[in-house]
Amino acid sequence: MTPDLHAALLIGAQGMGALFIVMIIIMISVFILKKIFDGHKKEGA
Amino acid sequence: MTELWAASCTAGALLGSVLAAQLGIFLVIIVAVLLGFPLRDAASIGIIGAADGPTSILVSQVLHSKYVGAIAVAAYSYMALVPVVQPLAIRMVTTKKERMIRMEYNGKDVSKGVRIAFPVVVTIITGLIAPASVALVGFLMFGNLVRECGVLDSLADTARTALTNLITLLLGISVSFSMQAEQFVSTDTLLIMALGLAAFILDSMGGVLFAKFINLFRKKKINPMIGAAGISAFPMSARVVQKMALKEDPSNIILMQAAGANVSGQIASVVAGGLVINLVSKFF
Repeated sequence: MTPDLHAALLIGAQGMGALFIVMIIIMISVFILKKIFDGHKKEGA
Repeated sequence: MTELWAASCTAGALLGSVLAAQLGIFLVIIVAVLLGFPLRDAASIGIIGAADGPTSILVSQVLHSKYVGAIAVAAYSYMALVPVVQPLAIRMVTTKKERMIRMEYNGKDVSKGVRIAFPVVVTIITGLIAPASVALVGFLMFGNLVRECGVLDSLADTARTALTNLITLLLGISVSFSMQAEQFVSTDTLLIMALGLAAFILDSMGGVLFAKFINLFRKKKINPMIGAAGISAFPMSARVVQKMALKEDPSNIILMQAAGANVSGQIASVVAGGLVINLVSKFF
């Protein structure tokens, strides 16, 4: 295995993992934001 | 609570499809290395699969790839060819019955607070995890903020019409200077075009196949074509998916779900670009 191939495999694994984490955090943040703002709206209504 | 759980499951399934739709990027990086391209060029070629012109140009320039011109041409060509390439890729991995699956849409109002906070939060999160993607995500989210804040209508108007066209023109002219015949007219360029197409097709298929996999565990099936919309070509990819759904069943409307996956795909592909820059830079 060449160093470049080793690096490419690592980039593939780490890239997909990090992308998964970023997107999960964004999704959770959107749920929290909706809870904060929409919850606030309901209380005011 | 059950409603929230169901919504979370659907969002999770769509998110998975969007992530699977980025798989082609990383697979093609590996294939390009196997074909003998140096790592920095291979990484730049893989990003063509994101179907995002500016991201491809930025990644190839930051990584000092010598194929910036060919990569820009491939990225913009495949963005324009979404209505030709995606239906073929989707048909290869779906049946007519799957393409006819209907999805419920419960439109809910999103408060102004959420719409304003969303771009700020996304920029902060991606900036903390993948600092190299801040330039891309920041500008995408800045456009979102200008539009949603409601007090900068003329700026939002200019940004989405004249400014976008001007920047695309200037970008094209600047990139064309690197396309000198000695470098551009070569077999490497053809190979890059072929690898870009492979990345693009693998992205589309990855999204569809993951949606099909998720359907194995769900009572309420999602239309697997939604997964193919998890790329950056917005709104063309969502339109293609909707058009294909209408072709199979003239009363099947899945545009909103497809557009949702398409927007997530935009964010995911710029984050993927930033991650590739971060990860590749570690090896030099």
